[in-house]
Amino acid sequence: MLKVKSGEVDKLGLLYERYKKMLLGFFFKMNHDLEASEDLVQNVFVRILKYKHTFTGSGKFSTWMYHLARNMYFDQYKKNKKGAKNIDVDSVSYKLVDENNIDEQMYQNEQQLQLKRALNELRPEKRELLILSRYQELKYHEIAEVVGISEGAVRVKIHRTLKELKEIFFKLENTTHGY
Amino acid sequence: MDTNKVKELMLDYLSGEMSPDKKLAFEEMIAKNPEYQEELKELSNTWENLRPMKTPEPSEKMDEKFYEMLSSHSKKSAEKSSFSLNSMIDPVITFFTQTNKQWLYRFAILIIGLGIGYSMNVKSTTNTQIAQKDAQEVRESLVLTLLEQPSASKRLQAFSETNKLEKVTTIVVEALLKTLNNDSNVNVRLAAIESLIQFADDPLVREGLVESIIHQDSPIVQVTIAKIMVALQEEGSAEELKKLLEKDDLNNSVREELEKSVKLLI
Repeated sequence: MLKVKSGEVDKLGLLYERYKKMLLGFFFKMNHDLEASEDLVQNVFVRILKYKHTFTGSGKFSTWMYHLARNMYFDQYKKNKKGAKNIDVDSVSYKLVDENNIDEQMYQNEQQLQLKRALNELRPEKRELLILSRYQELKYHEIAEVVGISEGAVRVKIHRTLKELKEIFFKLENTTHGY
Repeated sequence: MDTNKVKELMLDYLSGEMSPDKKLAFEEMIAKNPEYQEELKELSNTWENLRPMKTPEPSEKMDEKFYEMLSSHSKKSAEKSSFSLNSMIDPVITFFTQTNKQWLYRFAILIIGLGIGYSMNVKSTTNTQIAQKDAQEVRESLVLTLLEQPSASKRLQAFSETNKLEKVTTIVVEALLKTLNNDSNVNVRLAAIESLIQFADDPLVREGLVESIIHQDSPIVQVTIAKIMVALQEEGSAEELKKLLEKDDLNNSVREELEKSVKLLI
């Protein structure tokens, strides 16, 4: 990244290849919209170019990148707050009908769908913490840096979020079995 | 132990951010406390529930877009570093689009002021134009006189005067061509060529250069003209160059050079 900063912009390609999947995973888990996620990944790299002078090199590049990424996500989220939720559940169920003939797959997809639904019930600020620690496998101190709160607060918030998520799972379980 | 602290430890335990001895101590502590045990179990269940989740593969379209963006960015930064016209115009455009009306009024008044000043000044401008025209005429006659001088260095001086002329008249061109064809000194002839190429967009100059090919006997002048013909892509000169090639007393390396030029021209 320091090379990119010093003007070797072509080196950004390397960073892109290294982190594109990770970033796409982050956005996709946040919004479950592949196309929008890909656009967001693209925008993150545009921002990296634009703000390359602010990267000091003292922290890890990935932490800085996630910091840009989450800001980008929340900017976008504020812009189109409405409507997103309904669309993504529809697209998931569509896929479900499309792909599953085998029971095992059916079960797995149901689980995935359940999980997505549950995550979607969470507020994005909370969802983000879970995704960063559980899926993106960032350490708590890195998350603290990305989000801009203390490490202790990160743990407490994740703890609370897990509890909330458990409640949601429980609720969803009941509604599905209720039908 | 403080409950918050325990909660934090539980998370470290779940995510594996715990050293083995700490882990052991933590497990012991939990084992003694059924309430914490229950909580940890619930947390770890939920944590495990989060495990299976597929991440889609990035599409080719995304890669395409990225590399497009990257190459356009590199291009842009290259343009920026090479001081483009746009970088000069942009601030002006922003000035007009972004500044408020008050500024526009001030600007308009300034323009009007300048306009009045200009109209009052027109007379003196025409005077300057006349003076410039006079200077041009004087310089032209100076060139013509210098070209007639018996001393080669004086004649060379004529070309430095020619370079200062903004436009050349037919008389000057003819004088330069005459020097090119008849001057006894090679250096003077070469300098004449150099002066003439500056006005190469004038058809008279180009014709003169082509016609002069056959009159040249100095190898260096011959080669120079041939090269200029190639540079100007003056196809009509190929015939003249061929005529020159037919001469028996031609220098061998000149012959090679001329043949090369002829090939390039045809």
